[in-house]
Amino acid sequence: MTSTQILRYLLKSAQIIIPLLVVVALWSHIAPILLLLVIALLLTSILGPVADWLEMHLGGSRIAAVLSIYGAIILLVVGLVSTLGPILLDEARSMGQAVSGEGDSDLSGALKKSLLDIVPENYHETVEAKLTEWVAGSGQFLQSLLKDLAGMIGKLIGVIMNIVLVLVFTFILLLESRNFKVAFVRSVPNAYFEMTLNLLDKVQAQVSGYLRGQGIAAASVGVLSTIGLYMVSWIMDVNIPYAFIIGMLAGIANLIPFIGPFVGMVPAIIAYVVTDQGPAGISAMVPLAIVGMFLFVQMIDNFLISPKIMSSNVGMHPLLVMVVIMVGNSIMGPLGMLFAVPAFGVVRATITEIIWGLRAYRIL
Amino acid sequence: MMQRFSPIMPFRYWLDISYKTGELPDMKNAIWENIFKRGNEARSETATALRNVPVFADFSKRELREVERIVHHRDFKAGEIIFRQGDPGLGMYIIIQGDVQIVNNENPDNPIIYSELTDGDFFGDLALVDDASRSATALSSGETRLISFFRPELQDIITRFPAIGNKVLMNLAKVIASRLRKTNDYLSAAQKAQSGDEN
Repeated sequence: MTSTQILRYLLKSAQIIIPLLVVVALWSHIAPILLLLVIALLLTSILGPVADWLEMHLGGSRIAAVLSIYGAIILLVVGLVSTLGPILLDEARSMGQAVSGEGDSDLSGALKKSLLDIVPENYHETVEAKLTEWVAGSGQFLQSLLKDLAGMIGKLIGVIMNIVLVLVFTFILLLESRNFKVAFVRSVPNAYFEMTLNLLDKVQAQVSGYLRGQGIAAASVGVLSTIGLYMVSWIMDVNIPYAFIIGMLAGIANLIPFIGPFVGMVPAIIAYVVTDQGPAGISAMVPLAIVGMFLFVQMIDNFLISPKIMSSNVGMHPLLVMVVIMVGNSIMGPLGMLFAVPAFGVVRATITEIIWGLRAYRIL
Repeated sequence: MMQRFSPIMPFRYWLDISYKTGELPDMKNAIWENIFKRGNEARSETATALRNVPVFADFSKRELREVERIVHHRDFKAGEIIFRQGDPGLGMYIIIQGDVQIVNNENPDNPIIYSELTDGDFFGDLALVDDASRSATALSSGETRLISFFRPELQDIITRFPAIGNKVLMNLAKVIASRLRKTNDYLSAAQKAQSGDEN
């Protein structure tokens, strides 16, 4: 090996090693930005097909398509905040007061009273003890959730900055995704060129389909549950408060398979049981109707909505769901529980496609 | 002939005038000129190569520009494999410069060369339609420059510019139909020859 060859080899190695060392040395600073970039990439994979569709209808102008999406998002957020915001805030405030017993209605007290009315007298002590334990437990859960939220509000400026950064990253990615893809693929060695392109395309399609499907399913379940609760109230002529907030909760909880449906069902029944229903009193038929309504919504989701919108079979074993949720809880608390399953779904779809690619191109 | 307006036109015009009047004697060869030239040259090279392929032959300048934006450029050394027999088919390649061998190497000791392709030829176009495995290996037999146009890019064009996408698909169908007709001719000729032998 001549000295020129050695020098060339060292220079080539330095091209890889130096940037790697810089990344390792600055990891603590780079990691948060990388996380924002990953979120922006996920958002881009959801909004990309919308931008393509708009581009087709706007005479091939990408910038007009992306600006239209941002305009629509701003309008949607302003519209939702101004119309549904007050209802949501009102329900949340009155629910919070009811749970803590500060407001006009004492949720835990009313629940205790309702249960003691039904249960025979010799079980009253056990029921009271269990209820106190349950209220304390749920109070702790609510406290930790509130602490999470309070922490987030405390870092409001940071959160807003991050949201702005994600939106800026997403804007650039939506606008330049094709150029980035071409530039990235250019750096891939010839031997892996086709495989990389094939994988990029398949992973993007899977992740985008999965996230869009989850989003549409959650929104549909939320809207259907809210309408369903209003319909049960109207048909059976009873008062089920917080229908809107419970419906939205059911929609968001739909991200968690198996457990999600109960997250809407249980608070709706509790809200009905503890609310003064006037002279008619509490009827056993209403909780049954609520359960029936949520099951019906789940049936619509499982048999009509999800099969149409989910790009792939993302069925997960219940045990796996439990483990993933517990891991999510230990990493990020209650918020982690909520996003653990979708995050796992994204990672799984990516890994499945990578394994397919490595096998199809006989690398594995 | 009328030239289409571009934002750099006034600047180029000023540059040319300044050069001709001797105000900027060295600017004509300066980096600015190279920037304008390099982009145009790369584009025209790609556009010329694309026009040689029946799939893009009747494309307008605007339509070609949209395709140019999403194709990939690759340089292969002599002996380098472009794709292997059995790999999932992804799309077509157009040779800008160089030579490519299409080889059946089911038996590595006795590879069969199906075809030897050169500048302006294209291969792998059927993979634009489905993802069936590659039926042969493509091997670069010299320093080769290629353009690749793949199925994801075709789907992208179909989504964003349905008219261009339809044109690609129609032209692709014409290429396949022409090959099918030729195959039918060969088959009927072979059948006639066989029945003649039997009689």
